[in-house]
Amino acid sequence: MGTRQYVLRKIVQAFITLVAILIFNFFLFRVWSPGDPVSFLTRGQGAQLSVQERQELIHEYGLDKSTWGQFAEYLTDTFSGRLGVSSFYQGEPVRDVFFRFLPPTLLLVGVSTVLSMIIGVWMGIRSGWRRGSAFDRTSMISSLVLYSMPEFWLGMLLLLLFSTTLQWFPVGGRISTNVSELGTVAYVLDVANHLFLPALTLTLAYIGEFYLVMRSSLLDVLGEDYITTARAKGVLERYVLNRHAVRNALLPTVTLVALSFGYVIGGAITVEVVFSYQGLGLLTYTAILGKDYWLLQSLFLFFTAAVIVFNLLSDLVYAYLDPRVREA
Amino acid sequence: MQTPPLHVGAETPIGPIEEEAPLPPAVPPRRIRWARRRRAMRRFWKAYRQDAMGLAGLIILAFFIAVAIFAIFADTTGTEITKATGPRLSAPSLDYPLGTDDQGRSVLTLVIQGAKVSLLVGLSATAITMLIGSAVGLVAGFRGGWVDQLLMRFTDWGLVIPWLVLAISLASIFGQSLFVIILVIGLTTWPSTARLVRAQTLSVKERPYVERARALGASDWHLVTRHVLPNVMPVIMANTVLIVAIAILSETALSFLGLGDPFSISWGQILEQASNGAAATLGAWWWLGAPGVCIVLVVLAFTMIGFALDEIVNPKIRQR
Amino acid sequence: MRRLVKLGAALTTLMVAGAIASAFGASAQESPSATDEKVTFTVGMVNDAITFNPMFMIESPEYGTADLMYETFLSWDEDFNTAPGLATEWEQSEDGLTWTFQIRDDATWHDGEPFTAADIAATFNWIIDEGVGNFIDYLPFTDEITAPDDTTLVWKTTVPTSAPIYPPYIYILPEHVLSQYEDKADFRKWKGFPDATGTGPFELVEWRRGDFWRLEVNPDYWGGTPHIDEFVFRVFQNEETMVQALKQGEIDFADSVSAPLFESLETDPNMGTSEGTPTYFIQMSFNQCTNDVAYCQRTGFNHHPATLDPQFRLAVEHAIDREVIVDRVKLGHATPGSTVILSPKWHHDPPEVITYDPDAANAILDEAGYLDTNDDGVREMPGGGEPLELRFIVRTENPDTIAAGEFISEWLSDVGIATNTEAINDSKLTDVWYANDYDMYIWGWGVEPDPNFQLSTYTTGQCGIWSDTCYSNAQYDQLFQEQQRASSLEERQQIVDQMQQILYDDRPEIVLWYDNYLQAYRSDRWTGFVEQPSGGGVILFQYGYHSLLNIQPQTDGTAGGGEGAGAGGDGGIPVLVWIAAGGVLLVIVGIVVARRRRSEEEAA
Repeated sequence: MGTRQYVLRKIVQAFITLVAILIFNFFLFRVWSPGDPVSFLTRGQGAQLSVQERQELIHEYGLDKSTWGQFAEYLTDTFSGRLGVSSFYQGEPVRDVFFRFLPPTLLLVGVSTVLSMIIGVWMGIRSGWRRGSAFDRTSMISSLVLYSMPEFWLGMLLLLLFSTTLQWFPVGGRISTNVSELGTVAYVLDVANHLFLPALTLTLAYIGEFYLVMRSSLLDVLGEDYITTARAKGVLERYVLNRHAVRNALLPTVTLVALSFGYVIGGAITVEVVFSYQGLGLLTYTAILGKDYWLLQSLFLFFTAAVIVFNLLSDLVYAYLDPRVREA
Repeated sequence: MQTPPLHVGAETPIGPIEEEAPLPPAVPPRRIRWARRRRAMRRFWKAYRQDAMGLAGLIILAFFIAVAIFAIFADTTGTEITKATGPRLSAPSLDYPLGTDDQGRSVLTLVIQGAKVSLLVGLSATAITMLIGSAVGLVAGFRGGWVDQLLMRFTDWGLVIPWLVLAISLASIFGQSLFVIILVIGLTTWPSTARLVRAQTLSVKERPYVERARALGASDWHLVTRHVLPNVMPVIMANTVLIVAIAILSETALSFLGLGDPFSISWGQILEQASNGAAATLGAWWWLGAPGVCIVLVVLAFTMIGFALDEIVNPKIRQR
Repeated sequence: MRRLVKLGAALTTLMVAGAIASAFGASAQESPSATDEKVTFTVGMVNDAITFNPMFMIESPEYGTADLMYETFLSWDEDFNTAPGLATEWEQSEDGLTWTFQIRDDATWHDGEPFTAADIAATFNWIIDEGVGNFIDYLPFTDEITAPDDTTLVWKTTVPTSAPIYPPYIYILPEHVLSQYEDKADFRKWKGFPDATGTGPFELVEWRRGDFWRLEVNPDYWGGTPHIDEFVFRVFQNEETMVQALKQGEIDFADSVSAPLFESLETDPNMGTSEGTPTYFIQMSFNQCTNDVAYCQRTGFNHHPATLDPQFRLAVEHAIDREVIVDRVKLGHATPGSTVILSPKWHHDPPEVITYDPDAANAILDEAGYLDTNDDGVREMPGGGEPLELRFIVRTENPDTIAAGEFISEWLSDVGIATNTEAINDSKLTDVWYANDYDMYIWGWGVEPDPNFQLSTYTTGQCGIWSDTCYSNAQYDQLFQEQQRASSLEERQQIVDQMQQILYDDRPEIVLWYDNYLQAYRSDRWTGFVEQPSGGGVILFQYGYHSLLNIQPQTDGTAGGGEGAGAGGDGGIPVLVWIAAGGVLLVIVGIVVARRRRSEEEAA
C-alpha cells in the first residue's frame, strides 16, 4: 500500500512541476521575449510581403489572439505535437528539426553518463573503503581537479592534444560528409570516431562528481552502527562492503545523481559547441544566437521534461532500493 | 560540470554544536554567549588546521583574493584594445610573463582583471543563492504544513530546470550585463541550497532545547534566530563555499557561450576570446591555459575548503 | 578452472568476430564508392545557407552554390568585362531602344528539357510582372522582352540604356518551372531544393541543413565538363575548426579565412593561399528610417534619434581609425575604405578623405549640441535629452567584425558615445534589419563588376528589400535613373562618380575597409586555379567559371586522397585500433572477474 501511495505521490508531483514549467515556458518565450514575433515568420521577405499576406501569417499562427488565448492554443498545440516553426531553419517545423538533432545527443549523453557513473561509483567505493590509501589520495585529487575544470576547457585541451597534434580523431562534427556512401560498419565507425572525444570529455567531467558523492556516501554509511556490529560479528570484510555498506550508500547517490542531470545537460551544451557536434546542445546554442524563440521554447520544454522524468525514475528506483521509504 | 553541493548525510541529523550547560548566576547572558562562540571558533580552527586539503584551499584562495584586490586599484588601460602596445600573440617572456593575446594585450593584466570580475560574480551570485535558498529552506522546514508543501513544489520546479538552458534563455531575453549574469546564476542555483537547509531545519526543529524554548512561550522569530539558525549555520556555511565554486564555473560557461558582459573581462571571457581568436590553432597555449588554470585553482580552492568544512560539520565522516 | 576456459573461449570468439568486422569495415572505409573513383572537392565555410531559391537569396554561400547550378544569360571574362554566356552575340538598334541577342542552342536543363530563349524571357517577365524587388533594378525602362524563336531574344526599352549588358545578375529559370507557381508568394515557399533545375555545371543533390550540401556534376554542361564529380559545401561553427579541417585534409578549400589564420597557412608547404583584390567591402550602417519612407512607415522602426543627424555620423567617422583596423584586425590584408564601388573602372576617390581625428569628432559633437550635462562620460542629445547610448551589432559569422567592433566601441566611448555591442548571427541580423530595429551594425557587400546593382541598393525604393539603412535621397534616386540611360561610358562614369560622392558625404553608412579575399586550399591535392582578375584575384566563386572548369586533382599524389578523406571522410582512428582497444578492455575485465571468482572459490 505504501509503495503505491509513494509512487502516486511522486507522479502527481512530477505532473504539477511539469505544468508549472509549461506555464513558465510560455511566458518566458512568447510573452517576455523581445522583438516582434511576426518578423521571424516573415524572415527575409521585408517589403515583398503585402500587408494582407502579413496579416494572414499573423492570423495563421494565432499571434492576433489575446495572451490567454495564445496560451490556450499553446497548450493544445504542445500536447498535439504542433510545436511551431523554427525561424532559423526557414520555417521548418520545430518538431522535425528537433528529432533530427535528438539522436546524437542521446548517444553522447547516454554513453558519457553511463561510463562516468560506472567508473566514478567504482572508484568512489574503492576510495571510501580504503580511506587514506594511495588510491584514495590520488583519485581524490584527480577527481577534485576534474570537478573544478570547466568541461569545455577540458574539451578544448583534449581537442588540442588528440585532434590537432596527434591527429587521431576528427576536428569536430558528428559524421563525415560522405556519409551517404558508407556501409553500415563504416557508418558505425564514423559515428564512433566523431563521438569519442566529446564523450571522453563529458565522461571525465562527471567522473569526479559520481566519485565524490559515492565516496562521501559510503564513508557516511561506514560510520553507522550496523557496520560496526557486522564487523564485530566477524562478517568477512568483502561482504560487509558489498552486502551492507554499498547497498545503503547507493541510495543517496541515486538521488544526487538525479539532481545533477540538469548540470549534465549544461555540460553537453558547451561540449557540443566546442566539438561542433550536431546535437541538441549545439542546436540550443544556434537558437540562442539566432533568437529563434519557438525552437528554444521546445528545447527548454524537452530538457526540463527530461530532468523531471529522470528524477521520477530515480525516485522510483530509490523506493525500490529502500524499504523505509515505502512505509512512510 | 559539477552538481549542487555533494552534501551526503544532509538528511541525517547533525548534533548540536554547543552543549547546554547550566548558567552560573549573575553573569550577563550575552557575555556567556560570546565566550561560548569564541571557544567554538577555536575548536573549529583547531580541527580545520588538521585538514591539509582545507589549508591548501585557504592559501590558494587568499592568493587570488589578494590578486583581485590588487586588480581593483590597478590601472585598467591594459585591457583596452585600442591602447594595446605589445606584440601580437607572443609567448611568455620577461616583458609579458603570461604572453600576449592577438591584439597585443598582456595576458597577465587580463587575468588579473579577470580575477576581480570572476570572484565578484561568483561571490555576488552566491549571496543571492544563499539568501533565497536559506530563507526558503528555513521557512519551509520551520513552518511545515501547506507552506512547506508549496515552497517545496516551488523548489522542485526550480530544481528540474536545467540551469544553463534557463540562464541562456534569460540572458538572451533580458540582455547581457554583469547584473543579469549574477542574477541569473543566483536564480538558478538556490533550489539545492533550499533543500539542504530545509532538511537541516527539520532535524534541528525536533531538538529538545527548541521544544523547551517553545514551551516557555518563545515566539517563532526568537526560535528561528536564536536556536534554529545558529545550528543550521554551519551547514549553510559549508554549502556557501561550495556554491561559490559552482557560481564561478557557471559564469565561465555563460561567458564562453558569448553571454558575458561585453564591458568587463572575466576569465570565462578571456577563454571565449581565445577560442574565437583561434588560440589553439595558432599555438597560443598561454592564452588558453592561463585563465583556465586560474579557474581550476580557484574552484579547487573553494571546493577543498568546502569539503574540509563538511568533514568538520558532519561528525559522521570525520576520521576516527 | 572451467570458468576460465569458458571466459577464454568467449574472448577468442569476440576477437575473431571483431577481426571479420574490421575487414568489412576497412574495405568499406577505404573505397566508399567501390565502383567509381569519384573526385570530390570539399569547400568549407562558416556562413550557412538558408535557402537556395534563386529569386530570394541573401547570403554568400547561397550565391556561391547558385552560381554552380544556374547561369545568368551573359557572363564575365577574367577581367570582369561582359562576355558571352547563354547569349552569344548581341546588338543594339540604331535608336537604342531594341536589343537583340543570339541565344545558344546546345544548352539543356538538368531535367533534360532543352533550354531556349523563351526561358530567359519568362524569367525576366516574371520578375517584372511580380515586382520582385530583388532584381527589378536590373531591368529598368523595359517595354517588353520576347523570344520570337528559340535562339533569339528581343528586349525593347522605353529609353536607350545599356542595362541589358551590364549584365543583369539574374539566374535564368526554366519557363516550365516558373509557370507552375501562382505568384511570387507561392514561389517563395520553395526553398530551392529538391527539384532545382538549372543549366549550370552542377546539380544540388543533397542538403543536410546546418551541416553540408552536395552537388553532382552535370556531364552535359554546354561549356565543358569540370574535372570534379562532386562539389561539397561544408558548414563550420567557426573559422578555427574550418582551418583545422583543412590542415587535416577533411576539406580541400577554405573560403574566406581571417587574417591570422591565413598567415599561419601561408608557410605550410601543403597549402596554397590566395589573396584576391578587393571585391568586398565592410561597412558600418546607421538606421535611416523615417516616416517619409513607405516601408518604414508600414513596419514601424526603432532607432536612436542621433543616427539621423549627419553631424553625428560625421563625428563617428572622425572617431574611427581605419588604418588601425586594417593593421591590427586585418593584419594589412585590406585597404581603408571610402566609396561603395570597388572595380577600378568605376571607383571614385573622394577629393577630401575623412581622417581619424578624435579632436575634430569632439568639436563637431560639441557644436551640434551633444553635451555631457551630467558628467558621466556619455554625451546626451541636444537639450539634455536621452544619452548617446546606441546599440551596435556585429556578426558572429565574421570574427573581423567582432574585433573591429571592439575597437570602434572604445574609440566612440573616448568621444563620449556609449555603445551596447551585441554579436549575433546573420539569421537574426536579417530579422532585425527587416524590422528596422537597430541603431548601427556592421555588414558587408560583395560588389559586382557593374555598379548598377550596388548603387540601386541606396535608392528609396529598395527600403525593405536591399537597402542597408533605408536611406532616402531624391537627388540620388534621380541620378540613379540617369546613369542607367547614359548615352556614353564617360557620361555614365561621371554620374556614378557623383553618386558615390553623395553617399560619401551623406554617409548613411561608413565604408570601413575593402576586404582582400583570403582563400586557402590543399595545393598538394589540387591545381588549376585561375585568378580573376588575372594577376591577383579571387580563385574560386568568381564571376564566371574560370577556375571551376579548370581545377583538377594533382596528378602526383592520390587523386583527392588523404587519410581516408578524399571521398569526404574525416580521418579518425582506423578500425583495427578500435577492435584492439575493445579486446584489451575485455581481457582486463576478464582477468579481474576471474581473479575475484578464484578468491571466492578459495574462500568457500
